[in-house]
Amino acid sequence: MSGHDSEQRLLYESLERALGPLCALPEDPGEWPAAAWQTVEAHGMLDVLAEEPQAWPLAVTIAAALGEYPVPLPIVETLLVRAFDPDAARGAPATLEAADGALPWGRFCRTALIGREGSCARTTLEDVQHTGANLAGEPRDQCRIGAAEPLAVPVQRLASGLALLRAAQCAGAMRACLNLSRQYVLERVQFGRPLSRFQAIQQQMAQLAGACAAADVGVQYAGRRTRQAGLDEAAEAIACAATRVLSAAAEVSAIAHQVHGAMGFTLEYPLHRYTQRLGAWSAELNLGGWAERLGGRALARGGGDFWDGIVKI
Amino acid sequence: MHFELLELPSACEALRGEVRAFLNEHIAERSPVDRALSWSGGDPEFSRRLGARGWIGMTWPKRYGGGELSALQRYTVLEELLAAGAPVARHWIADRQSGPMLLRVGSEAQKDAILPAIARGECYFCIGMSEPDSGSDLASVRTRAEKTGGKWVINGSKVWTSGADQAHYMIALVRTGDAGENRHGGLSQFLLPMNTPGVEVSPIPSLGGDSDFNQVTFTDVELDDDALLGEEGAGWSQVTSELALERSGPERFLSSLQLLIVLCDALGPEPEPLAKRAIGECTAELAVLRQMSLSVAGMLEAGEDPGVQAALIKDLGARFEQSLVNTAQRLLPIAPALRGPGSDYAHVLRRISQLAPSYSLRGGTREILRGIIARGLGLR
Ligand SMILES: Cc1cc2nc3c(=O)[nH]c(=O)nc-3n(C[C@H](O)[C@H](O)[C@H](O)COP(=O)(O)OP(=O)(O)OC[C@H]3O[C@@H](n4cnc5c(N)ncnc54)[C@H](O)[C@@H]3O)c2cc1C
Repeated sequence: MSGHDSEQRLLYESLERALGPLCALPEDPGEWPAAAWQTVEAHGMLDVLAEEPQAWPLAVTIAAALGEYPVPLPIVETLLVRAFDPDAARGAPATLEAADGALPWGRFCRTALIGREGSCARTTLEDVQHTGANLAGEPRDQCRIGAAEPLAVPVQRLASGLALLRAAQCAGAMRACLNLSRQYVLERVQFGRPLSRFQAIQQQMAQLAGACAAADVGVQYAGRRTRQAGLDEAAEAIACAATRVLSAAAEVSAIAHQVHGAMGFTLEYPLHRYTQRLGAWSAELNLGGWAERLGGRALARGGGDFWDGIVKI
Repeated sequence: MHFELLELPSACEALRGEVRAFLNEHIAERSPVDRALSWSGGDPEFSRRLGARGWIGMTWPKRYGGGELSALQRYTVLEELLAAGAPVARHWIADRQSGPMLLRVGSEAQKDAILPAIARGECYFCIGMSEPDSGSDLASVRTRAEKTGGKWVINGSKVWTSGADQAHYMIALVRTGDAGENRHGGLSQFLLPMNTPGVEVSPIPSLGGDSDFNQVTFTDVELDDDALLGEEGAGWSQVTSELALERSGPERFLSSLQLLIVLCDALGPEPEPLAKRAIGECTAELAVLRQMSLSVAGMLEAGEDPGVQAALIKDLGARFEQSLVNTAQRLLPIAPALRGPGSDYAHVLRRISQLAPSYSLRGGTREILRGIIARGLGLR
């Protein structure tokens, strides 16, 4: 992560320590893993935006860590709910309506933020109608919605916040793909030498690293813009991050699988945990229509102002 | 492979406005197809004006004609020049790499004699690296300099030398001794005035159109001792740092911007959703490359060596720019014509279609850059 900034590094290390052991939880735990949630609550990561509304770069770092250490709990969702709803209960998980209309981990949550006529509303979830799962096996549920209490938050703002953190999760998962692939090609021997000695492999690894770096810079930049200007003003930077992450994710996933050979196709080896999440989260980002919106704005400005638009993102 | 985000100080935004006003005054009439030449389009008068404005050699010490400004101020000026398609070719190489090399390894006399003229926009350089038998394998160059009677005598030839027909000097990488075991020994750099007897320049017509590259031959070219640049035998490490300068700038992803500009205008404000999406993808790619590139500018300013990061940006930038022709054709199919009437879009598309193959060759090929990145990953 941001290696030069020692504060960031310390934070990242504390996240690694907290999240690492929880990655072993099953994606679909059946029962609410209360002890694991307690660990997450105790760390403080869920409250960073509730305590400091400008702390988006920190939230991005947390989300990226959750991409690299994909704990199957509604951490990003709860963090966002607490950011937007000052009355959100502490100690319990909460969720929000994802771009596909599903409620991540809805089965374990009592409250959710949903969109109602362009605004956010707080609802209670009465009971679970359908339990589903995304490509990676993360719960994506439909629930019966109780009374909805409107909040003074445009739904687009919530969508931006969620897109930013999903994109950051993707960037973290890509980092994991890079690390796994790097290790694998250094260790796996064919034709009497490690795969890393083959130029075709080196060239693909370079491409993989390029995509990872672009995704990482995209989300970091969007996090910084959001801290400075707020989610509404930073919408274009977030759209850039989401859009760049989408193309990078496809490339990273394909290359990581290619250099792993059949091993990466097994359920025993961890690569799929990252590539399937990249697939699931990309699909969610894709539904947000971020690229269309970004292009629509550029076209409305016209060619003469295209560059100025880039500079001001 | 770390990229630390960097924020341009607010002074840069004021400077940006000044550059835009200057460009409005001086190149408002420049046509889109000429702008599309990007940094391979040149105009001596423009270079002189830019020099007079203090925007060449911006970071160099004042005593050599520089402005003692920051690398970030320089970055701001460069990106505005590139975005506008200003005709910067004449001074570009001197400002980007030859001048900085002189500052790093040149003698006092060399610096005094040449840097102020570069900063005035009156002295141009070309890059003497590639040879007929040495492209990617640069260490294999065969052009030789022999010391005879207090003079250096150079024989051999350089090729693909951009701007050699207009340049006043070449920084030439030549062999002065045996390669030794690691192949990197025995190389030296020379500061070679292009008007020295025995130097012959022949243009090589190319897809680059007006901006041809050249073959340069040296037949018993005699140079004084003080034409040696830096240390005898240190040519390899010197040329490596020259290449880092050559690869690190925003020209590596902004040279086809004119195509995006005319494409946006030709599509109009409300095209079909897929067109919006494609333009959005280009916007995102450019905006992210710009942040990566700013980060490299920050590392350079801090005295770090961002060689791997620069290779990574150049590779991503070339791939992005090369994909633009296809994107444009997909969204707005027209047959690019070499001659005859046509819209701005048709002409710019033709020019960028022709230039595009060079993006992943010049300044180091895609394969060589990826090799550098792989080394950065510890794979070789
Ligand atoms: C428009 C333009 C302007 C230029 N201007 C200048 C200039 O001003 N001064 C100057 O000195 N040079 C200049 N060059 C030359 C440029 O630096 C070379 O083209 C480049 O270094 C590649 O060398 P080459 O063309 O001989 O190709 P080669 O090295 O012969 O390579 C041909 C192909 O083989 C690949 N290849 C080569 N070696 C390897 C390897 N080890 N592993 C895998 N693949 C490999 C290359 O990547 C490339 O795809 C210019 C080139 C262009 C196109």
